[in-house]
Order: sequence, then C-alpha cells, then structure tokens
Amino acid sequence: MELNDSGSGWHRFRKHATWMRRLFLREEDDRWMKDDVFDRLLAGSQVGLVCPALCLFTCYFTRANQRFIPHFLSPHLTHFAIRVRPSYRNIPRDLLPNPTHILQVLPTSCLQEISIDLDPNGLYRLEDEVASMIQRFGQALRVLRVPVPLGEAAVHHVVGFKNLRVWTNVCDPPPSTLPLSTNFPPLRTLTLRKDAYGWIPWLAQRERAISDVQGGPVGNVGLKATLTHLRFREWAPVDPAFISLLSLFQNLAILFVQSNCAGPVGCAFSLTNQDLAQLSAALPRLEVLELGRPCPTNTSLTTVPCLLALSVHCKSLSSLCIHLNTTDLIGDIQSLSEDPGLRDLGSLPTRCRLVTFKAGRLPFPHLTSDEDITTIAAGLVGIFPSLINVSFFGSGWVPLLSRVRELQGVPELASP
Amino acid sequence: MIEISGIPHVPTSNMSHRIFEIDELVRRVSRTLVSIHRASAVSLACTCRLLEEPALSSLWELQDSLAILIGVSPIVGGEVRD
Repeated sequence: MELNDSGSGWHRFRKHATWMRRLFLREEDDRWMKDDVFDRLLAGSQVGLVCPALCLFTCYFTRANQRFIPHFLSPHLTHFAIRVRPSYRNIPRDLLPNPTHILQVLPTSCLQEISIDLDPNGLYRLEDEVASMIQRFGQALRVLRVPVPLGEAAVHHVVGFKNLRVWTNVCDPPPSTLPLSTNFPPLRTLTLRKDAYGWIPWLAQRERAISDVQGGPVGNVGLKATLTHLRFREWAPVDPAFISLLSLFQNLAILFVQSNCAGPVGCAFSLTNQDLAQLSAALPRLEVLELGRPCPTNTSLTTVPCLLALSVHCKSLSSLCIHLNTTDLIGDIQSLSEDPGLRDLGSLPTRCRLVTFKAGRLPFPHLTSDEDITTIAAGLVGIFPSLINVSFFGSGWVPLLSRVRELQGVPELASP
Repeated sequence: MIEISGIPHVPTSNMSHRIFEIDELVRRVSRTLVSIHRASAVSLACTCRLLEEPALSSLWELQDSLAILIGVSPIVGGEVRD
C-alpha cells in the first residue's frame, strides 16, 4: 500500500510527535517494536527521529526495542535512562540486548542526566564505548550513573565536570596522575562499588589538602561542603579507619554501607562507642546512618551509650542501622544515668526523631523480667522520644516492642 | 443580557475572551492543569480553537507509552489508513 506523506493523518502524527518532550517507553510497547508497525511508522512519517524535540527518554532495554531506540535520540535530550528487567540478569550474556550502537549515537551536547542500568557483567565489555561517550559529554552533565570501569582519560574527563552532582562510580582508585589539586565536581551524591572504594582515601586526602591551603584554585570546592549522600553498594569493612575518613564530609545526610557479616571474614563491624560518638559529633546533619545489617553474633563493641550520642548529636536522624551488643542491655541502660560522662550527654536537650529501631537479627537478652523490659523500653524511649516501632527477625523483641508502644500510648500492632 | 457586577460582558458567540490570546498565560495554565488533572486539560482543549493547541501540546508533552502516538498515526492495527 502506498503511503501518502501529504496526508492529513501523517501531518497530525508529526505535529503531535513534535510536541512530545518526555517519553517513558513501557515494556508493553515492545509489541509496537516487534511487528513491522514501527518500521511502517518510520517509513510513513518519513522522519529519522520519531519525536524530534524529545528531552527526556526512559525505557526498558530489550532485544525487541534495541533497534528502534536510536530513532528517539533527539539532539535536545537532557535526560536519558535505560534499564533491563531484573529477569534479564539470568540470561546468558550473548543473548542480552547490546547497547553499543546506542552509546555511539547518543547525542550528548545537552545531556544533563544519564542512567544505564544494565547487567554489569555485560556492560563491562563496553568500557571503550562508554569512555568514548563520556569524552563527548559537555558541562551540562549533572547525573552520571553508568556503572562501568573507566580508563584514566575518562576519569580525568569526569572530574572536570563542573556541574556534576550525582556520580555512581565503579572505577578503580584514581590514577597516580590525578594530583590532589585537581578540580573535583561539587558532588552531592556519590555511590561507590567495591572497586571504587579507593576513592575515599584520595578524597579524604584532598579534603585535608584543601583545608590546609587557604585560597586554593577558584571553584575547587571540597566535598566537605557539598556531599550529602554517600553510599557503598557492596561489602565494606565498618572499622575505625574507614569511618574516620568519612567524618571529613561534614554535610552528609545519608551514609549507607551495604555490608553484611555472612561472608568468610565474619562480622565486618568493629566500631566502638567512641568511634560512633565521634562520627555523630562530626556529622550532625545525618538523617540516615546504615552501617550494615546487625548480625546475631553479638560480639560488637558498640552498646547503648552510642545510641545516646547519635540521638543527641544528629537531631535529624530518622533511620539507624548499626550493630549493637545486647549482652548486658539492662546494665547499659542503667549506666546511662550513673556514668557521669553519659549523664552530662543525656542532659542535653536535643534528641533525634527516630521512629523505628532496627534490631535486625540482634538477639534480645534471655531471662529478662517484666520490670527489666520496662526499664529497657523506658531507656530507649528516653534516647529516642519518637520511637514507636522496633523491627527485628524472630520473636525475641516482641515484648519490648509492646512495652515501647504502651509507653508511647500507641495501640498494639495486630498479630500477624 | 446578564451583567455580572463590575465585569463587562463580552460576547462569546463567535469569539473568545481576549485573555485567551495571551499565549504564554494559556500555556502556563495548560501545563498546570495537565499536572493536576489531565481530564480537565482535555476539556480545556475542546473548549475553543484558541485553547486547543496549547492544551494539546501540554497534554502531549509527557507520554508514558507509544500507544497513543501510534494511535494517531495512519497505522492502526497494522493497517495503513488515510
């Protein structure tokens, strides 16, 4: 059938397509891609780009649509995001859709945000393509979430982005050729994968260097002033040396370490009350502090006093997940009012707004009397005045949860 | 003729109020309306010719599927029409 380009139907189609600025391509749209419908659409509309003024494009990346995505890549794109379905992660690498061509033709001049959430193993084959794409980005770039290791040239290019605010980094530590005086983007959010943890000592060293030098290079703002979100996406040792480096980033609101103690190394958490007290004093703006899931070994050196320090110093704290030794929970609660140092700390008026205490797999002390449970509940409420919930595995913490809710005048939770 | 206190009557039989000729204003109203209640933006587009294009363009700005775009093309159900 002959297509009539001058027809009012195609004219209307082109007009409406030109109006489109943001398109979220859904999985269901694959049916338009699989058949020849999309081919006929391109032929009939006689346009190279379906939506020539598109600014924002988000889609699930599939084998069906990979051939057609380039027809949505307008030169006006400011936001670009592709991701694969979680089920794709189990598919053999050779069967995964290949984004090579997309990375090569993606217009980057206006791009402000790019997120590529594909199977990392598959992406790692694309280091050269990603590096080449990064070299084409301009100073408009604000968000870079492309979890691919970068070569030295690409790293140099990224740290030169003056407006970059969000960076997901899986790179190896910075090359030795990256001097501390290098300008670094004023990041607000930094997410690191395991191979990129080497950035932290470098950044900490740089912070110290900036503090030491008065009137450094123009625009060479330290992350101390800008960084609010810091996430470690894979196992990290939660030890004093690691945590002391993080204390330099004073504006942190979210500090997240995805650590667990299930690996061969055993419990990864070796902080003391003193370490956490120092951390809380250094990072008073913390809203989320998650330092790995509490494990049931109950061998950590942190006890109730560190909770008090966190509540007093971090008054915006709303989510807390740390190891806590519960062996002598009742004694630790009582010592809060007996120890002169802790009494002074407890007399300070500020408290955080924590609602849920995350006990995780921490064991609740055995043989605890009704009176002891009340003492523990009252002690926790004294530390966290907004507390109404305790999250945990198993049933050990149930009596405490009931008592906390009773003290706070909150109705009992319905039994599951 | 109905006279609302203080507001001069504007005949609307074959012309819209002149305020609708302020393109920037109409587009801003359309965008706001789309973000609040898309159905009302559709009604706005149907109100008069002056409002049709700004309201429609605001409605078309954000699409969460290709289906509607394909629907306005001469290709429907795999067939070409026009």
